[in-house]
Amino acid sequence: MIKRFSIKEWLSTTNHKRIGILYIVASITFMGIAGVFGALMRTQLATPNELFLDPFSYDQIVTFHGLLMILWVLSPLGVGLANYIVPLQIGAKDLAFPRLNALSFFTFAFSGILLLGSAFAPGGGPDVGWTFYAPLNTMQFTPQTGVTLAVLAFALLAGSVTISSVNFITTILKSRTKGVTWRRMPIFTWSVLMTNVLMLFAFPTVAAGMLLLSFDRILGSVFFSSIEGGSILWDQLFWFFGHPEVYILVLPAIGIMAEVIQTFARRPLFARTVFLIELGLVAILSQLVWVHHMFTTGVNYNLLETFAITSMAISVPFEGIVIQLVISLRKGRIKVSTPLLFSLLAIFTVVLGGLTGVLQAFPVLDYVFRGTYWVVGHFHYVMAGTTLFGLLAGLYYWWPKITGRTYNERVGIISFILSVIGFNVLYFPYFFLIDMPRRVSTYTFSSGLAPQNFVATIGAFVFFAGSALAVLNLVWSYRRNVTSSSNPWDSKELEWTKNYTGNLPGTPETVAHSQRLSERQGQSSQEDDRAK
Amino acid sequence: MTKENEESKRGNSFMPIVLAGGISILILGVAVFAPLLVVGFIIVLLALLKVFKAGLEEKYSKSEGNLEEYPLEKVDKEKTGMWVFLVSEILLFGGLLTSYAFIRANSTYWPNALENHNVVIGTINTIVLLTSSLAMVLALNSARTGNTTGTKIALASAFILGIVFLGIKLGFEWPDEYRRGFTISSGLPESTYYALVGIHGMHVAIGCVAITYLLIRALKGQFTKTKNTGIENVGLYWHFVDIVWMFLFTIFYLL
Repeated sequence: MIKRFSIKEWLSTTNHKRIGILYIVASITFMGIAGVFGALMRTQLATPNELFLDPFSYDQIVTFHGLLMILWVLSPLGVGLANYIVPLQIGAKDLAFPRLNALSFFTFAFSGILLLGSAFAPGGGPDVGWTFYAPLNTMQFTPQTGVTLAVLAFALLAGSVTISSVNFITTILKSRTKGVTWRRMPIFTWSVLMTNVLMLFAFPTVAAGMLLLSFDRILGSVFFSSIEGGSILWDQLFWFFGHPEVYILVLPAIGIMAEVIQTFARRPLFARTVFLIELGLVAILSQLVWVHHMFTTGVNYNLLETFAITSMAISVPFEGIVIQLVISLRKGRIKVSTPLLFSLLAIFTVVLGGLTGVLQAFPVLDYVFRGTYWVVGHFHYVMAGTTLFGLLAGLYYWWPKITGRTYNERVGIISFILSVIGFNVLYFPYFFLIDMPRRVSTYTFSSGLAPQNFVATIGAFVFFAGSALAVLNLVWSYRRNVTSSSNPWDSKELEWTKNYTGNLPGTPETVAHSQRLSERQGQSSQEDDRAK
Repeated sequence: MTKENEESKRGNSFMPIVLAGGISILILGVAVFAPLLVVGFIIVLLALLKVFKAGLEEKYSKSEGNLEEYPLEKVDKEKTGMWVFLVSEILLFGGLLTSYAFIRANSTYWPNALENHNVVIGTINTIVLLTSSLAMVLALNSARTGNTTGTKIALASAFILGIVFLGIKLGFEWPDEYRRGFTISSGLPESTYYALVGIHGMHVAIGCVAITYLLIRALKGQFTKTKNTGIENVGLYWHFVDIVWMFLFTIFYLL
């Protein structure tokens, strides 16, 4: 891996490993920026009547934090890991279209730079929230150029994601080496396939919305300033993308958690086929729940009922997933390490985030929770919790594969402990802030919201330190020259063993396969012991 | 190490970053500072030319072989990619057409199509685009039967018909409608018309660029009986654009 560093080679690369690394580095850079924005928000909210940030700056920071974290951090971090790992797991030489892969990376990176650049556009940056709700997004209410630029950056990102999902789907369909059949395909690759199918369905719709919005803002059409189109049209277009997007973020993390747990519990995943069916159900149902973001907009009663049911239904396969991940640990010979700890944390947060989510699926309760910090708490438990920790687990898990280095286990565990404490101290108080509206820069002392907010701010800094330490630990390990063996976790999965053909011709020895075998042997040897 | 180094170097290209940069500058031009539009356009154009040139020199890569391809054994990877891409295009236009339906269903008044649009010109344009699709099919057919002259003529006519379609739209129909006060900002019937037909027009223009590329390859004699997947894949896209126009023609000129 260590070669002379040549920037020319990195900028012209079409190799999936290098592009994967570029994706990871870029998304972690954006994560640093968005994390600082988050810390600024919490600083502003620490005390009542705070004047640290004026409302306009605060709104812009809210917008940047949301947009960056969702679309330029969590989603591409998963894509980066997939870029590196998926071709190895399926035994492909590269992705199906390497140059398109490079194109999707650079459009992604430049769209992020354009988005950040919109802060310096004439009239100020976007202050519309990551959802760009109409009619706030029209020229009448937000005349600044920054919004237009952010809208176009979003459209460019949608293009980039579409290209990369075409690439991934084609690769997984067409470039699997002999022996990697659908049944034997590793779980992470399955989750990436489903993620990319969701991306393929979700992003074009929001691209359509962004195009119409940019016509509104630049050419003067009247889609979102009219009553007939207006806010409901925007809600439909946006949330048709926006809800699957949540699952686009979380599915690769779930795949990683499954891989990590079956490696560190030294036991195949419990009921693998059922797990994959559940992932598929989640993927399908996630396309059918978007109206639950619009319960309070006065959509008609039948829609309300239908989407309440689908929103509750999606929690059923998710419960299955969580239960299977936990059961897989049972009877396993567990080896405690940082990736496993982060995976367990991700399971804990998905339980809490999921439970609070089911409550919001009831329209009656949604009327109460809508637009409050309860909702913020809920989706941070899922996104900043499950997704971020799941991806961090993946980063730690595959770090020896990517760099050939082992990280410092002790620092990893310290960062895990800081993350557990910081995360929960930050987001748990949000469930007691049902009276506090989202996206508002301050509150009064008499509202009684001060203690929870103060505690949350302390948590925010601990969480920030924890996740920064987790990333820095990896960077440090890269600087120090500690080489690890080619399969430090003793994993049976294909990217480590590269044993695509296995013992018999045409059958790869996958985790499910070989571990079941070794378990049987283990059992029989135990029985032998008893017999003696 | 050196072997891996060489392997990673193979196929290196600066075009992705240049193309992405050009598009970004184009966006800056649209949103912030108009002169950048020209700069971005030139960069994108040069990058595309370079990509085309690289494509001309490229040999057809053989299938890697020894792959697990169920259930797509008989479809090559470019064609698979094109079909997957078309799914995303269906959703893009699905979103746009649904927006149109949503707006029209919500409106209390919607003008009759005949009031604003010249159905005769619309029909002519439909025929032009359909014929262009036919020409693409003929081009593929000629390539498969080894008729190289036929391929060239068919591709050239597909290209010309695409340009004629755009010419009628931009050169005649839109200026005429603008003169009658049917402008993008005057109301929802106008906004939907210009936005949807405009996005479709961009697709036609992109298709024309792709057909130009095919034409150059055909003139160099690069399409033979066995090597003609390029025509088929661009053809798929071209037929898709055609099908979208059938919807647009119906909703804007007939309903």
